[in-house]
Amino acid sequence: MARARLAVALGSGLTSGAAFRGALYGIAAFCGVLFLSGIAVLATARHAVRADIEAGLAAQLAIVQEMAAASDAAAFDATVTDLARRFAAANLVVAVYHGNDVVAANAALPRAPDTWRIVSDVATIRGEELDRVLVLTGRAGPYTVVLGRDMGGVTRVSHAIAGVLAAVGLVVVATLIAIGWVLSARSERALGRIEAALDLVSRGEFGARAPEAVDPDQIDRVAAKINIHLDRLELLMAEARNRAAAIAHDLRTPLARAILTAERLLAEVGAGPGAEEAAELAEELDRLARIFDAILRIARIEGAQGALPEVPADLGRVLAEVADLYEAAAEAQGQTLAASGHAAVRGDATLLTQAAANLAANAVAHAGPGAAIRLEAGLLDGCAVLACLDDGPGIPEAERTRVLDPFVRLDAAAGGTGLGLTFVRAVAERHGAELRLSDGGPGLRAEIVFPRELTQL
Amino acid sequence: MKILLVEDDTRIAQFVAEGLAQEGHAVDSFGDGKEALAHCLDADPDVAVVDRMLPGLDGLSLVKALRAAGKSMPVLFLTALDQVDQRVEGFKAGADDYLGKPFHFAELLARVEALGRRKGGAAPETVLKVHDLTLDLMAHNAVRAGQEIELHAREYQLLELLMRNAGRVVTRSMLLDRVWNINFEPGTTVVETHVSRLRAKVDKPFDCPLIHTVRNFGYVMHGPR
Repeated sequence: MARARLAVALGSGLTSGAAFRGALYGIAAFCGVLFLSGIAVLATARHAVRADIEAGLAAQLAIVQEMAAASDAAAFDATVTDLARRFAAANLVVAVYHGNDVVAANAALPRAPDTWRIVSDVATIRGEELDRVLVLTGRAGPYTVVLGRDMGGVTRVSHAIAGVLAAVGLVVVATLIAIGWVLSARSERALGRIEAALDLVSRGEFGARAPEAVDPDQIDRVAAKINIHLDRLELLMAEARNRAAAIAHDLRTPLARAILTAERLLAEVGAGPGAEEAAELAEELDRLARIFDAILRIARIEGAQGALPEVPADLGRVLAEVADLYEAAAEAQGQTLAASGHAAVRGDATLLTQAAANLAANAVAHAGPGAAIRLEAGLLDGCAVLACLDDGPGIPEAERTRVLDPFVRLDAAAGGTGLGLTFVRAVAERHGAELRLSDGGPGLRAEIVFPRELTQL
Repeated sequence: MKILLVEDDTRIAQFVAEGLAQEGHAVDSFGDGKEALAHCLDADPDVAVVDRMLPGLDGLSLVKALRAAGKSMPVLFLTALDQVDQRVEGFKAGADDYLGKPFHFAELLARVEALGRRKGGAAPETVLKVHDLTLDLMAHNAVRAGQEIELHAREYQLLELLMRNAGRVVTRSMLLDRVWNINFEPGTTVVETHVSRLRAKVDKPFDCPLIHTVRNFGYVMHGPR
């Protein structure tokens, strides 16, 4: 379950990484700051340019007023006419009125009260149409002087500044995204390597470790911590395994002695008194040996280390062999047993054979006379499945989890060690697979569902 | 038969030696691998029964040394180390059979006697005979009292194994091992049901049974006695 969640988290890709998220936050903050400072820069620049223009216009008006005071009317007319011509070249617009008559003008500037104002759509004698003109009107003796300057320059400056800011913003955003992407990809890869290592460990390869970088970052520190725990886990598993092996040898030899002694006792008492007890003793010792053997086999698998065999195991063939073995026993009870299908996994064929044999033995023992037992290999959503189905009484839903535990026997009269399904589960887990018991509608459906990465297509 | 027994547990060694002697075999028993090797180099036992964990020289090395010295007597490992990989190691070292502890004496006896016979058979047989039943190993067919018997592949293998060991017990675990190549408890009466199918073809139509059940652990084939 946890692995599935991890896979989902990683599966959503690079954009889910903390580094990438960090970059996104950075971009948002940068854009905000850029926007606000852009507005401030623009306002300041516009203000400065306008102040400049205003000062120029005021100075020019002062000059015209001086000229009006110093010259006679004819001379002034000539001078302002000349001035209007010169101003036209310098992008200044001017109109001089005497009463309502235009004395000189280089643009269609209306008379206005003495003040600053903005006039739109001013046509000049050069044929230009000015969108926005800042106009200063003032009096010079009997004349009304209207001076104006095109504000297009301010707009151009504003556009230029905004353009530069936008370009800078674009470059910075692109760079941040790229950096975020690279960092995110790197942590994604690092996390992927940790995940791969944990995956191997969960499948029994206790020697697997997450790689650690020479120049460690946060993820590498986590990887190092994980590795420390894996070291300890490996040590504990090795101890447990050695203990199991030691128990194997230490108990098997006395058990062998006990069985030999019981056999001899049985032979010596013959049919005399105590024969029944001797037979019972021998039988119980046999049972003990069987249970013990089953526990050790399970302990061995649970403590198994190292990779699974690289050679593929053909589930179809495994099931065919198992069917061949149990088919006569099934027939003796009026049951039918057949194997079908194909699927290949990377796995231990010997263990899988024994697991399938346990499932078949269970079906033969518990499905009842006349049952149809099917062993099937196949694929489910790209995952190999080994299944044993019967149409017997099945297992009540409430008991399905419990029967996998050691020594649980639903039918005590049927004998058996109560370790058969525990063994199957251990084999499944050794392969990272899942043992599922479900309603066969009717009967029992027991399935080993292998992980996709072990399934060979 | 002359049997070499190398077992360091004195009680097991005593039981096995006495049991084999009772069946008429001569047993040389050793508790140390080195001593056993020294003994073997000038005595030639018919079968060796060897534990794996031994003082002096461990069982695997002992068997490798024997094979290196050109000794070809059949060897059976009798050991608590009976996991699949350990069995593979044993066979690789040159063993002919492998029996895990704990074991039944009758199982050991049956396997030792089957091994002992293997040594004598120099010329490969082409026809096996038990009473009026003939198994032609070349033609792959079985004929009893002039009637040909149709056999499935597994039934043929079972019958061949039983007939090769005619007069000697073949245990259920030997059959599982040799015919189906499995070494775990199958959990139900798989061998019994296969043998009863075979009996239905080989014995039932005829008046005298040839396949006999031995107590609760094996089968023996022989004609009327």
